[in-house]
Amino acid sequence: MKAQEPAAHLPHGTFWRFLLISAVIAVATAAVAMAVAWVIGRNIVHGIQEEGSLTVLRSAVDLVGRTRVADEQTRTFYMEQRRESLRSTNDYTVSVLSTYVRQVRETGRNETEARATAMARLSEVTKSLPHQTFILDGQGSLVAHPDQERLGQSLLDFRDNEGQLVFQRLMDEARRARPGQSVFGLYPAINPNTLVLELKLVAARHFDPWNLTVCADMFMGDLEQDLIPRRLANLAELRARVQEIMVSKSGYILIMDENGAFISHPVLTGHSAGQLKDPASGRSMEDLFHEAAERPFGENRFRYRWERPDDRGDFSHEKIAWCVREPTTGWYVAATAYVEDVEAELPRLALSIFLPALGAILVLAGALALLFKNLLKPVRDLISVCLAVSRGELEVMAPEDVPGEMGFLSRHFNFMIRRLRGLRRKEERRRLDLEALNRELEKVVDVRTRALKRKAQNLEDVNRRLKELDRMKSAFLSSVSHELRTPLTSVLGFAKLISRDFANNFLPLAQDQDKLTQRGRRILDNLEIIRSEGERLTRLINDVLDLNKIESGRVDWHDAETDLALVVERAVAAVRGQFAENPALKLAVDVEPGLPLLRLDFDRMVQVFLNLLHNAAKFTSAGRVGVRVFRKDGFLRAEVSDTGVGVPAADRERIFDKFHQVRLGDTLREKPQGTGLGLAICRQIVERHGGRIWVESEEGQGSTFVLEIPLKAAPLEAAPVPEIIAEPVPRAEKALVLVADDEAAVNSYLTQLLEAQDLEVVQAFDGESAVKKAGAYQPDLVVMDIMMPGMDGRTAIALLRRDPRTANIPVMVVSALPDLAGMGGDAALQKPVDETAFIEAVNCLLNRGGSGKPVLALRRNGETVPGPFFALCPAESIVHCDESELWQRIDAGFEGTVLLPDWAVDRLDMRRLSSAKGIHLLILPERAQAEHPAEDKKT
Amino acid sequence: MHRRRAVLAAILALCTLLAGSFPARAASDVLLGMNYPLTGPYSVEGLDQIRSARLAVDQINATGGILGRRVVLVPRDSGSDVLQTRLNVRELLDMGCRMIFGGASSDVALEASRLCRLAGVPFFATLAYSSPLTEEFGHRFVFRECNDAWMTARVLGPWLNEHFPNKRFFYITADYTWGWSTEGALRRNTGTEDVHTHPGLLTPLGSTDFVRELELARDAQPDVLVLVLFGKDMAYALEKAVEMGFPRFCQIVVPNLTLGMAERAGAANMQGVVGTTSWNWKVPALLGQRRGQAFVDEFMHRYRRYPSSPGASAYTIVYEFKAAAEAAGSLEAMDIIRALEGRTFHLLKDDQTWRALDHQDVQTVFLVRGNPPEKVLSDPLRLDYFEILDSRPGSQTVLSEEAWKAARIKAGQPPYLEPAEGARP
Repeated sequence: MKAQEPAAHLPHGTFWRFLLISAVIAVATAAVAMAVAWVIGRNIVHGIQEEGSLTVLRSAVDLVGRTRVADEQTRTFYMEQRRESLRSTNDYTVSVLSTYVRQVRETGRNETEARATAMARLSEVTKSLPHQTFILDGQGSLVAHPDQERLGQSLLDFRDNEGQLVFQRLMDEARRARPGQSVFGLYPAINPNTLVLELKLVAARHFDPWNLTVCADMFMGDLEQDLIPRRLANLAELRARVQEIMVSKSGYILIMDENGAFISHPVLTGHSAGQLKDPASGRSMEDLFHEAAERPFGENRFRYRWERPDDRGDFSHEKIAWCVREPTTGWYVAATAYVEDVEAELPRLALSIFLPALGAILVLAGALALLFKNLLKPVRDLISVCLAVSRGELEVMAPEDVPGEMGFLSRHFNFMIRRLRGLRRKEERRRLDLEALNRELEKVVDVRTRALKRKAQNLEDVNRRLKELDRMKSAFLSSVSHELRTPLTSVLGFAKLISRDFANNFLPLAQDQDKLTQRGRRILDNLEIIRSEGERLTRLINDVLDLNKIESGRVDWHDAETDLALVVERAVAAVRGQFAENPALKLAVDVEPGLPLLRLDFDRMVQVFLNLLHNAAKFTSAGRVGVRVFRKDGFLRAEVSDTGVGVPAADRERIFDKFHQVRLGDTLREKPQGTGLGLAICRQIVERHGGRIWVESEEGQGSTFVLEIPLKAAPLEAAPVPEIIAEPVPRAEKALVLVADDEAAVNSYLTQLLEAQDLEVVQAFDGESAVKKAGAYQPDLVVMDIMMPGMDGRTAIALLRRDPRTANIPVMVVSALPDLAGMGGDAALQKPVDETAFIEAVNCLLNRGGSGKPVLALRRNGETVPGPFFALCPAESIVHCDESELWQRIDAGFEGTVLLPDWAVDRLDMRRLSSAKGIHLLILPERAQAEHPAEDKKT
Repeated sequence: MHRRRAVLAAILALCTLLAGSFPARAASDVLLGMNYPLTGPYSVEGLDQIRSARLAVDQINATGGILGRRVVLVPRDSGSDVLQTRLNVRELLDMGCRMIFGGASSDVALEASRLCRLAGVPFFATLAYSSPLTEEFGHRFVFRECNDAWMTARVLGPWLNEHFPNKRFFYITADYTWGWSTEGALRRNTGTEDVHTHPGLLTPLGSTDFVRELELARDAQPDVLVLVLFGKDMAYALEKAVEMGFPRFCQIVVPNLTLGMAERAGAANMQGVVGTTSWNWKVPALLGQRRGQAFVDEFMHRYRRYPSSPGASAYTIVYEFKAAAEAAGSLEAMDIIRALEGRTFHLLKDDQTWRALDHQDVQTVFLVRGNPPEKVLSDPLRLDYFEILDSRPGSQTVLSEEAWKAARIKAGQPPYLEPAEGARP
């Protein structure tokens, strides 16, 4: 509903807005049209008025010109009249003379007499003529003149005021003139009436028969006098005519002469315009007229304020005047009109322009409104359709019978609706399909989910079972190892005992009997086989246990900043003896100097390299084994290469599996050596350090084991140097040893061994009795088995330690259990017990130093073998040395006990160590709270 | 009351009339005297002169006058009469006019020239074709703005020689100095000096009846009828000649044509008539001369007519006087004369030069022929009378220095214009 509201109002809004805007535009346009009409009308009115006024002005000018022409013509006429009268006077004179001439010719009258008579008569007659008449003879002498006194006077020398010989010239001209024609001249003379020097007009006619010049003259001054009334009449006529002219209703023509006097004005005729001022500009009217008249025609207008003839005294009426000079008179003629008259018709004219425009605007606006309404109707229809469509009602259609763009829009809108319908149908079908599919899917999912649940359940069960199995396997392995070790200890121990006894006691008996000796040797050989096989079995079990420990994460890693070069050096040093055995085998070591320190478990890494080097030596009968360490791409890379048999492609990955060994050609002849766990352990160690290990090999050509460890810069940690306190404790000569072992065989074996050392032995077969006996006998040493019925060894040790009587009695743990640390013993020996090691340990614990052999203790980074163990040993006999020194001493033929801390076991080449002659190894537990007698290996 | 008013009006009118005759003027005003025929046989030329002169004076006053002094035009009607001219010019000179011009008759011009010489005031002949004006009667104070008879003949002659070689001519000539010199020059330039083969008749100025002369001419059956007539005389004669059918068998030639004459004669009569004119209202447009066109336009606006050649002459004279005065920086006669002598100017047509030798305005003269009536009437002002056939620059037509000197000597005058002795300062 909310969305519909603006849409529903839109068409109406648009229409009314349009109407409003149209109205505003129409009003504005009308106003503009009115203004334009007014301006145009004003221009038209003024243009027409100007055109009319100029035409009137020209006519008036013409009228003035004609008046002047009339004046001049009057003057000419008067002049001509005078001339005519002089001419006729002359003609009369000539006719009189002609009469006499005719008389002379026809009647034979005496010419001289006739001439004299004629002159006399003419002189007489002229007195009555209107003009003075006189006759000059050929010499210019007056022969006839009204004034008798002047007869005979010559006029030839008469000069006018300019010095011209007037009569001489006149006579010449008259003589040259056509027959019968008079010529005219002027000369100044004093008018007897006015006594003023005036010009006289003289007409001369030549009378040929007697060579006379007949003249008549008259004063000119009369002429202007005579002309004045004529001119006044002309002027009055002009004024009357001019004042008839109306310029735009009440305007008029006015004429002003050059001096500014009004020649013609409705009310001011005769006044001077110079004294009149335009009230608007304050300028003299005369100046205004002069200025306008001198402007180019058409621009000769000016405006001023004036009174109206019908409204005298009110000088507020604006007038417009066009002024020009009449050329012949130089008068200023002006056509003046009142602006109010000029513009009287302006409203009507403007309306006549504006009203049609207004009509057109209104009609146009109406038509536009209708048109827009019509235009909007389809839009409204379309909007309702749009609304319906937007509501989702696709059944509606826009009307298509609309012309033009709207029709086009409607048709295409409908087309869109049809498309939408099609889409909606398709959508519907798809939706239905999808729903069906969904249902199917739900079913399937349900089924699958259930199956999955079942499988997950199964997997969980299996996993649980597997874990259980793993645990069981570990337990099994532990127990089996333990169970295997215990009998193995017995087997090995007794085999050695038998072998020794046999060799010591029985063989000498048969010294003379070769057969017996032979048989004895064979028995010794067989016993040796039992022993060596037993040792191999022990190693196998150790390896299995080791791997098991790593896999199950029960190993304590001792990571420290380690130089891999040292690792390699240690490993190489350990195997050098092995390589020394085979002169055909060369060992080459190439370590890049300045390798960074890595955080590694030193011993484990040595184990890795040892393993690899052992393998290389094992599978390479002759050739070369190389160790190379270098940096590459952010990794520290170590390669151990050999020129041995190589690894088949199929085995290259599998050799890192547990219990996998490369099958060599002849399996019967060359049985696999080792446990087959070495590389697996290697891989575990390397991967634990974030590295990887692989083999590159070509069968028959050799193989290269590559390991890469990422370079991680780590700060060096200063390892604390623990203080070594060795407290030598005096030891009593007589010693009593309590042997606690539930197994009678082992108990008896150990007892035999101890008794062979001239020690007193008390036996106990369980923990409880062991504790009791220890309290009772106060032995010097307790040899304790751990796994015993009833009270186990651990509890027993704890009880012993708790009892102040027994608390200080050293306890040596002898057990088949893999981890003897933490059992509370002072030393530990793992079953099967190495006889020598056992005796050594016992001696050590008893502080007997029986063998008097020197003791070497390995130290690392200044860390000496810790613990109270040293209290058991004669202090002076212990030599602390580092690894290299240790090897030097051993190589130099050292014989005695070597104390090794727990960490050194994996690190040192134990094989080499154990292969050294006359060396007893005693491995000390990590924390020397309890001394564990170390394994003893005797070769 | 009415009587009193009438009397008052009469007195006032008289006063104004007198005032009109002798307008009170400021002493600094430059008076230009104009003696022109408002009436009489040449009145048609006179009206244009006064109109153009008035226009020029108005324009000059509107732009500051001459040397900063207002110009006042003092016109007098001569009626082409020598006596009236004498009266007028004397009056004008007495009023202190700095220059006299105007006139349409050579007789009048000669009389004015004579009087001006005496008074030491420059006279500009406006419409006086007669050669003696600048030859035997020439002097330092007279200038002729229009072409002289010789120039007319030098333009008309070649055309006649080309179109009517060895044809018979008949001359009807106004019997005064202009007529005589024009006929003489024309005869010399067309080789028709023989008066028996090419007869001629003289008629007095102001004649209105040419029947006798025309009958004689018709009897002579000439190929070319030369009417050395001017003004109304020419109009009467031409009217009669056309009436008598001359155009059917001969070419009518009127040596000096003006618009006013043609208008008075009428378009029908003027058709085909050949003559010369020093100027025509179409000339500025033809030459692309804007100054001249401005004059034509302003004249047209003011008087609803085209200016004619006498009008152009009067206009040119007023402006040349102004130019000379301003060039000389003086209104003194001799300064103005010296400034004008040899001066070349450019006003209403192409270049014109006041030849120092004889004060003749050396200028282009146009050969024109009367348009047919329909052409004349198709003009907005119905005044397109002439078709310009040809034009000749003044240097080709003007009387040569040698000929002029010869004429001077023959007339008993020195072969130069006398120094301005007797000139009034």
